[in-house]
Amino acid sequence: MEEPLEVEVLFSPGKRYPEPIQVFWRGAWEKVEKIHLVHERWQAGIRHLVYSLSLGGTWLSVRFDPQRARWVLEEIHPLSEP
Amino acid sequence: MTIFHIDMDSYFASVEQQARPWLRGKPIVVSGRPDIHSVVAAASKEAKRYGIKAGMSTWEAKKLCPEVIFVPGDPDKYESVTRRFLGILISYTPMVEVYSIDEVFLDATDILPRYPDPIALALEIKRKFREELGEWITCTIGIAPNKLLAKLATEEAKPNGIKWIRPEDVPEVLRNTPVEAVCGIGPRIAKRLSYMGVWTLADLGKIPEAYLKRVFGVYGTVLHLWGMGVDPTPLKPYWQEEEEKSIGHSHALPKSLRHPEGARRVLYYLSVKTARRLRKKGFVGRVIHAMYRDEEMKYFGAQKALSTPTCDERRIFDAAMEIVERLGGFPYGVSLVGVRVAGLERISAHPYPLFPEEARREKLLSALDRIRDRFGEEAVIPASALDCQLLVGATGGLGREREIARAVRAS
Repeated sequence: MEEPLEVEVLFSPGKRYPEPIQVFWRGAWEKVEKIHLVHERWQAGIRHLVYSLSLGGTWLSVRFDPQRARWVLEEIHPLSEP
Repeated sequence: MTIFHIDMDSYFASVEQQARPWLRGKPIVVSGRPDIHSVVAAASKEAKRYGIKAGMSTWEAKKLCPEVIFVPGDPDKYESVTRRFLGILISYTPMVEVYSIDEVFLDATDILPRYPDPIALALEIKRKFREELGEWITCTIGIAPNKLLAKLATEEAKPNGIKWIRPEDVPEVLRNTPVEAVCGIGPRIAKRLSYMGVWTLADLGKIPEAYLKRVFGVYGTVLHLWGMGVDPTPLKPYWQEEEEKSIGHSHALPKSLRHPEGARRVLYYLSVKTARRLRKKGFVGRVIHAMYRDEEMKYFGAQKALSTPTCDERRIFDAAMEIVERLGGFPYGVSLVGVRVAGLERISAHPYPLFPEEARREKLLSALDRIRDRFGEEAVIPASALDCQLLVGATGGLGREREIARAVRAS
């Protein structure tokens, strides 16, 4: 999955990575409830930031591509399984 | 001296459970692809309750717990998290040794005067880890006068615990610790020690050093020191560059490639990876070592010295194949192949190629390297090794501590 996304981030002092606070998804701005993990991924010599986060009962994996300054939705999963 | 041994609990599995909350509380195993006969790289706390351990084959894990969830390994993710917790530790002291991707030694001697006791520092480290990495990634901390005892303390406090062995506790710890609990004393040495009436570290300390040296050679001295509760290995801080001795790759074969032609293709693929790493690190090597494992899990291997050192995959592969042919060729059912280049020298110490054919080859390899630097390692693969893309995605991370230490140094 490689769906472009709009993400609003917060640059907090002392924090290593910018924090997504809202995601424009399914036609509306949704508030990020929790960031579970942030990690770096090297793709073709470029450091991408990958966020595992939850919003509205759904888990998303979103990636920031710093070269194109673009956010993409990589994966989606229900937050809890039946 | 006070050494902290920090060991991340069920590391890869905890990182996956931190990233994917629906996996929490479930038996999960981080492994390569289950269809290529891979091994368990890490089992979650829940999977460990079923007896699943790291190093076990994936089918054994499935037999122990049919509902186990296999998660493919993501080396970049684990390395990234390791770099973050190392960053926290380095903010305390530069005396940090990266022992493996999930284990670190820290010499806390100089920072302890700022804390009421070592436990207070350990609690602070655990709190900072929780804030930075998340609530599901936990660690166990062993504190002792040296690395050997600190590691023993960690083993006792697992998971998510803290244990402090004070200098006055050492004799009791030695009396209660079986020799096989020490990392470095395997079942065979333990068995030989048991014939001598040695069951615990205290027993080992009572055996004269000269006798241990006669039985175990130079290793006898190390055993004697361990028996006294002394660790002869100093802490190797991450900023101290350690010279590479050899570079290589090995891989378990998926069922579809367990035949001589399949093994040959994988060996070529591994030679390409090895040569690429040699060039990336600026090395050439003279000694080629090739090995394989047959279907009965028996290992075969030999080495060959080249007339001139190389970092060219074609020469590495040809030498490796020559070794394999000398050993009788790959048998049907071959389950693992590997290639390693040793006798490393700096590439810069070697002259430019003299003959046009060699110069063309060098230009080609350098062009391929530039393509891979820009578009990723799998951007160019030899056509004959195309089947080996099946191997991509296998678990990594283990044994990458040098790269991590180097990356932390660079940042």
